Amino acid sequence: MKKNILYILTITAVIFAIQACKTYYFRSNYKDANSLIHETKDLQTKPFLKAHLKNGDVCILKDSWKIDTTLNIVCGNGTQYDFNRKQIFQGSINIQIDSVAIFETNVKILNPEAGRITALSLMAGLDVVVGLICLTNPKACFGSCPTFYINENDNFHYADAEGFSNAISPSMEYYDIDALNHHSITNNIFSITMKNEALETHCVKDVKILAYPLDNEERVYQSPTNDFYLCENNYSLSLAKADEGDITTLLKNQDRQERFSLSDANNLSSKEEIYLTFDNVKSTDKLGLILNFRQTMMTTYFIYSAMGYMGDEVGDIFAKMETNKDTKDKLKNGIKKELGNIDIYTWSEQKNNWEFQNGFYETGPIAINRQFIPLQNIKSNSNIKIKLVLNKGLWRMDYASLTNIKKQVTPIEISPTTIFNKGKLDNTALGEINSPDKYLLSMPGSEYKFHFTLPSTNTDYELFLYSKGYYLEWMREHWIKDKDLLKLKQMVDNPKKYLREEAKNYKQYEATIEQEFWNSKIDTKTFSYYEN
Amino acid sequence: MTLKHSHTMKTNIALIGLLIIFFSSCTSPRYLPSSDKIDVNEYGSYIKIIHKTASNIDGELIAIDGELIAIDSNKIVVLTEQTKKCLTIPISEIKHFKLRHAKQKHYGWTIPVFTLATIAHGSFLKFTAPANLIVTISVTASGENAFKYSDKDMSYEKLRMFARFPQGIPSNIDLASIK
Repeated sequence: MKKNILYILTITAVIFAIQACKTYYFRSNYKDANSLIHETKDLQTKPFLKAHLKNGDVCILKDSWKIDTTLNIVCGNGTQYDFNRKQIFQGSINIQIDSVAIFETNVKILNPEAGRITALSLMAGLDVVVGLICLTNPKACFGSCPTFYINENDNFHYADAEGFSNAISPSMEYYDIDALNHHSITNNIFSITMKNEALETHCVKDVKILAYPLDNEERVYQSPTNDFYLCENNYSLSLAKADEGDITTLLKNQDRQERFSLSDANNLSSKEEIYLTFDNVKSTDKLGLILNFRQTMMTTYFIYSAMGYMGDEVGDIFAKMETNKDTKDKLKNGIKKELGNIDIYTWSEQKNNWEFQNGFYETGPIAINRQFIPLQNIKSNSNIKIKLVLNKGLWRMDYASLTNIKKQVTPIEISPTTIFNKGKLDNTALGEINSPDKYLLSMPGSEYKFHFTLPSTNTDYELFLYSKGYYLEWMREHWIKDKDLLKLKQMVDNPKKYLREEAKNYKQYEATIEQEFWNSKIDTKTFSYYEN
Repeated sequence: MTLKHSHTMKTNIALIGLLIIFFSSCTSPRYLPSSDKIDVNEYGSYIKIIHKTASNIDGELIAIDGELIAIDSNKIVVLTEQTKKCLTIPISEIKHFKLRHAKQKHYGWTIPVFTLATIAHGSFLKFTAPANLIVTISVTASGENAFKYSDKDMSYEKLRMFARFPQGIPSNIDLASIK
């Protein structure tokens, strides 16, 4: 996409550069009347004629001029100037051809500015369109949550974790644990970079690494209840089917080729089912399901819509939320409960029905969550069938597989030893992160690199990121226009009805919101809050 | 924000500012027509000639500019801007020339206006601001370079057509009397 934009811009610049060098051949000189007659006779529009007289005067005749070869004159309406170009006559002029030194014609250059004006008009049009998109859809122009990167140069498409996405006010602060995969640590330092790529204030109370050393082929997975399981073996998916058909290739590998569906146009809480089949599971003892998933933009839409509905009372409502637990719980849980988890069922041959196991849930559309659910009551059968029940248009899934649990484990908690603020050692930030009652404030454009010292070198570790805090969304002036307290009340008190009524609005949004969201992330390399 | 980034950003802003000033400060001589009146202009075009050998006290080659009055196979007559008098320059002593036959349109104002307008684009501005900068700078540069010829794209023979007297200086006219 970026390459295409640069390509188009380069082509545009080259076109302009070429145009700037264009030569206009519009002027001709004729030394005698005959050549003038012959060379202008085929012209549809007769050009202006300049007759440069031998005495230095010039007569400029408009397009009505003609040559009378009998009287040997050129006649027409025009203006005569002396050699210093002072006007000496205007009106009908008869010029003796003998007195003319040279004739000059000039073809009118039509709209010489047309190219430039067109380019500026197109640019202005594009600016207006983008401006209108942001004006009518301001919430889509901004992302959310602190994002974490193992490779600091990665862009947000490859964020390794996003912290506390639901914590939109101080009282909603919570801790979040995200799997970072297993890493071979050669020296004992592990680094991760936290970025603020949105127009938000991030109040970060804690950032830690949870680490567990691995032996060959072992992995540690995290359950939705933040329990950790040491596992071995991996059983690939044999078949996956959804409403649209076979989706096995989308879920078989961890390749970021994700399966997602669009929302129901009549009800945003409509559910769908996905069926997974695992053949040749060698050991069905203590099985668990691994699922890599994240959300679509649907919940982001709801968070921003809620803030828009609050309008200029956003401060009052947030204050009420801070002091009233019921309000907070209603706001937090109403829609979430209605949308539900990714519920997992396993097929029981004995009972001939689907047995509910547990559910996955993690808010946030940026980083892919790698989570795990231990499966109960799996009988000895190498063929495992699993059903996923999930809200349409809410989830993106990348990978599903089965594994065997060895035991439940507790990873080591490691606090950062140094923090770098955009490349500079920041002991204040380190003090804030390591102090239990202080927050590290991360403003838009901020970038903090955390270094953690692991216990051993040359060891494979399964790593998890623990982040705790909350964030404050920056209210935008145009959001205030969306104020609708009745809609907010409906969203909180009657989410079922809200999700039905909002379906059509969201459908309009759904087609473009994803791209808009990704385009809206702030580049921390070029943007700094502190500079603005 | 590192010191290096801050310095780079300030340099960029200064560069853009200079570009705007540069493009906006070019004024055209009064005898040049606007682009829609090229065909009925009674004066010669504006010419700037760089002398091949003559230099000023700083060692820079002398530039002579003014209205192109006449040209023949050996010399060019220019009514200079500075002295308002005709100066005859042998063609053999000319290194380069540049000719402008109409007033250019200044689009320098579009650079800050269009770029600042992208503030309304929120975070999209990281795409739209550079796009606006490229287009407006290209348009401004193109506007400034319009209606211009140089010795690279025009022969002395063709240059004659842009003189006040394409036929040469009339025999009855004293150069000193031309204004």
